[in-house]
Amino acid sequence: MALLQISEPGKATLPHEHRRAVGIDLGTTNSLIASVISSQATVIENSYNEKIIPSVVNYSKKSSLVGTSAKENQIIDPKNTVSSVKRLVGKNMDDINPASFSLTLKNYENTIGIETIQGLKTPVEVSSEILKYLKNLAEGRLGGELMGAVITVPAYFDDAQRQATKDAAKLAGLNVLRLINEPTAAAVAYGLEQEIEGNFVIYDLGGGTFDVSVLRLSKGLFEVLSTHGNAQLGGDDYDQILAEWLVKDDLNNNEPQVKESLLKIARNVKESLTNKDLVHVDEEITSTIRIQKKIDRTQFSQLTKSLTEKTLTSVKQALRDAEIDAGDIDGIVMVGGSTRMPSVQKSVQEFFNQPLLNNLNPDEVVAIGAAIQANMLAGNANDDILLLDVIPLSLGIETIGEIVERIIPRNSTLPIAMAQEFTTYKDGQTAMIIHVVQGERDLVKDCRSLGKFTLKGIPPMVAGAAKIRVTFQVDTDGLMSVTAKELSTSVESSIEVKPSYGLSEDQIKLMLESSYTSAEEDKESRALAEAKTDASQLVEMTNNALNSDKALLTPNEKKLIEEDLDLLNKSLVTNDRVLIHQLTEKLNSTSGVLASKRMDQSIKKALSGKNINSLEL
Amino acid sequence: MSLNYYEIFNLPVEFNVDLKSLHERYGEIQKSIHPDRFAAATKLEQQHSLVKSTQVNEAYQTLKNNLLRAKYLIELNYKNDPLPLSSDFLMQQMEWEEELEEIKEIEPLIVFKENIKMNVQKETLKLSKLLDQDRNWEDAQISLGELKFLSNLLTKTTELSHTLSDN
Repeated sequence: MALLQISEPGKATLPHEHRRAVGIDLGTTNSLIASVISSQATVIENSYNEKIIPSVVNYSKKSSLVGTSAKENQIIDPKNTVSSVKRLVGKNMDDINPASFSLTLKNYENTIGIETIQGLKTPVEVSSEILKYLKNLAEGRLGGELMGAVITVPAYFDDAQRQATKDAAKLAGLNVLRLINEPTAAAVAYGLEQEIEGNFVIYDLGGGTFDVSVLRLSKGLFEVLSTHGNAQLGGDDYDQILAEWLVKDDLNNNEPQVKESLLKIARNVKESLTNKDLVHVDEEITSTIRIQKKIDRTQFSQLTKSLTEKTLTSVKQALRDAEIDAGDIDGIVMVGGSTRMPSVQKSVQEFFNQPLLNNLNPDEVVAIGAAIQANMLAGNANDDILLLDVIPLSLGIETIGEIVERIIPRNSTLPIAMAQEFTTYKDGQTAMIIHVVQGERDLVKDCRSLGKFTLKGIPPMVAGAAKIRVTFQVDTDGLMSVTAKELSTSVESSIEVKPSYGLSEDQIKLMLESSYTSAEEDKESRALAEAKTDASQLVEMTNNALNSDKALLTPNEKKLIEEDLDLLNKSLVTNDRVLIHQLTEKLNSTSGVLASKRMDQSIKKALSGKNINSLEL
Repeated sequence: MSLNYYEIFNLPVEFNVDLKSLHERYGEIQKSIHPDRFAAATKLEQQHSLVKSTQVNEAYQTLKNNLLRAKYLIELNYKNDPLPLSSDFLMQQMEWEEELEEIKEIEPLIVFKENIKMNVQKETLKLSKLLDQDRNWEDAQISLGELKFLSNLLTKTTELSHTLSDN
C-alpha cells in the first residue's frame, strides 16, 4: 500500500498482499516478460521453455499465432505474418518508406493499415496481440490476474510512439504502471546487481532501434543526464545491408518470399560471425536463385561501418549534452542482442578506451530491469530506488512563419511543466489552435507533429487583451498534456485534442468492446465490479490516511471527509454503478486536502532527517 | 507550493549554494514524492504527486544553474526592469564575437576559450559579491546581464571546438 509506506518505511508486504506485477520488453524483433518471483527477477518461459518470444504475429482467418510458430509461418505465409511492427507504431504513411516493408501497407485514418487475411490491422492492434500473449503467459505462470505492468520503450520514442504503446497495452487488457525507457531499465538491472555508483553509458542496439543514455547513479538515485539515439536504426539494418550484398551480383527479385528468405540468411550469417571468423553461404532460395558467397568479420565490419559510425555520433552528442567527457565514464553497459556483433563491441570499446560491461544477458537485461521497477511500483518492495528520466526530444509550438518555438528542451528531467502566454489577434476571439511538435529542427515541417489543441471558451475581449497561459505538462511516461487559463478572468479553457497520429479514445473503446464476446463478458456487471473495486480501494486508503494523519486536518476538513467516506461505504452494498462512481469522485475531491498536506509533511520529514545529520558533522 | 525554492531544499537564501547539499536533498525529496511512489495509489494522489514533483524539479533546475539562480534571487527582492549594459561592455562583446568568427583552428580556439572562461569566472565572483555581501540588486541585475552575454559566448566557443574536433 503506497500510502502506508510513506509513514512506515521498511515494512515488507505479507504474502497475501503481494501484487502480481510484470516487466515487459516489447522489442522490435523479440519480446520478453519477467516478474519478481520470491525476490528474484525472473524471465518467464512459455510451454516450449522459450524465454525469448519473437515479436511476430501470423493471422489466419479466425485466429492468430504469436511467437516462434508465427515466425515459422513467415516463409510460407509472408502476406499474413507481421514482424518488426514496432517500426510502424505511432506513425502514418508519410513517415515511412513502404517499399522497405514486405507487407502491404495502406493509409488508415490517422495511422497505418496492414493488410492481412483478417482485414486491415493497425500497428497498435498487432502489438496488442503480442502483449496479450505475454499477459496470458505470465498469468498462467504467476497463478492469477496481473495487477499491472511496466512496459519498456526506446528512450528515443516520441510522444506518438509512446501513446501508441500505451494504447496497445490497453487493448490487451494490461494496466500500465509506467512506461520506462529501455536503457534506464537496463541501468536498473545493472545498478542493483552491482550496487555501483558513478557515471554510466547505456549503449542499447536492438533489432530496430538504437538508444544511448548517460546516467549518474548515486545512493539509489538513477538520474538520466541525457539520451540520444535513432528510432530507425537497429540490427535489422545490418541484416538489410548484408542481404543486399548477398544478391548484389545476382538477379534483382522483389517477391516478399525471396526478401524474407534473404533476410533470414543474412541474419544467420551475421549471428554466425559472432562466433566464427569466416562464414560460407550456399543457399537455394528458389529453384532459380542460389547464393554462393563467403564473408569474414573484417568484410562485414567494413560493409556495416557507416551504421556503427551513426551510433557513435549519437554517443558523442549524448556525452556533450550531459557535459561529461568519455574519460569520466565509469562503465559502459551493452544492451540488446545486436551488441553481440564483434564489430560493434570493438568500435565502442575503442571509443571509450575501456572494457565493456556485458556480464548480464543483453537479451534479458531490459525485461529484468522492468520487472524490478514493476515490483516497486506495485508496492511489493522497499522504495529505496528512484528513476529520474528525461524527455528525449524538445517540445515546441508552431508560431508565425511555420517556425518552432521551443517550450520544453530535450533532456529536461521529468516530470516537467512549462507555461507560455498567448493572446488573441481578433476582437471577440473565443478560440485558438495550438500546434504542438516534437524535434530539434527550427521549421515545423522538419519536426514531428504531435497534435493540434483547440482552446475554447476564451472570454471575448478586444484583440490582444486576453492573456492565455497555456501549460504544457510532460509526465513520467514522457506523455504530454495541455491546460489553459485566461489570466485576467481566471477562466479555464476547454481543450480538444486532435492527435496527428494514432487512434482516438473512441476508436480504442470500440476495439476493446468488440473484443469482448457476449459469452465472455456481461459489460454492465463488469463495469459495476470495477466501480466497486475502485470505491473499496479508495475507502481503505482514506481510512488508513485518516488513522495516521488526521491531526493534519482542521475539524471541518475532517468532518467533510468522514461524511463522504461514510456515504461511499454505504453505497457499496447497492448495485447502483452511477451512484458509486459519483460518490467515489466526491470523496476523491474532498480528501484532496489530506493528500496534499501529507505530501508537504513528507517533504519536511525528508529534509529534517538531513538537518540532524549535518548538525552532527 | 507556497514555499520558495530555497525553502523547499532548506538552504540559505544566497547566490552561493552548496551544490552537493542541494543534490542530496533533491534526491531525498523526490524519493518520497515522485509519481513512482504513487503508481498504486488513487488518481488524486497521483495528480498531486505529479504537480509537486514537477515543482520540485523546477526549483532544483533553477538553483542548480548560476544564471537562473541569480535571476531568481534578484526577483525575490527586486521588481524593477534592468538598466542597459554599458557600451564599453557591449563593444568588447562584439569584438570577441568577431574574433571567434575568424578562428579556424584548434590552438587559437583553446587560447580564446581560456580567456572567455576567465572572464566568466571574474563576472561570477563580482555577481556573487553584489548579491550575497552588498545586497545591491540594481547592480547585480546589470552584472547578471553581462554574465549572460559571456556565458552565451562560451557556449558558442564550445560548439565551435566540437565542430573543429569532429572534422
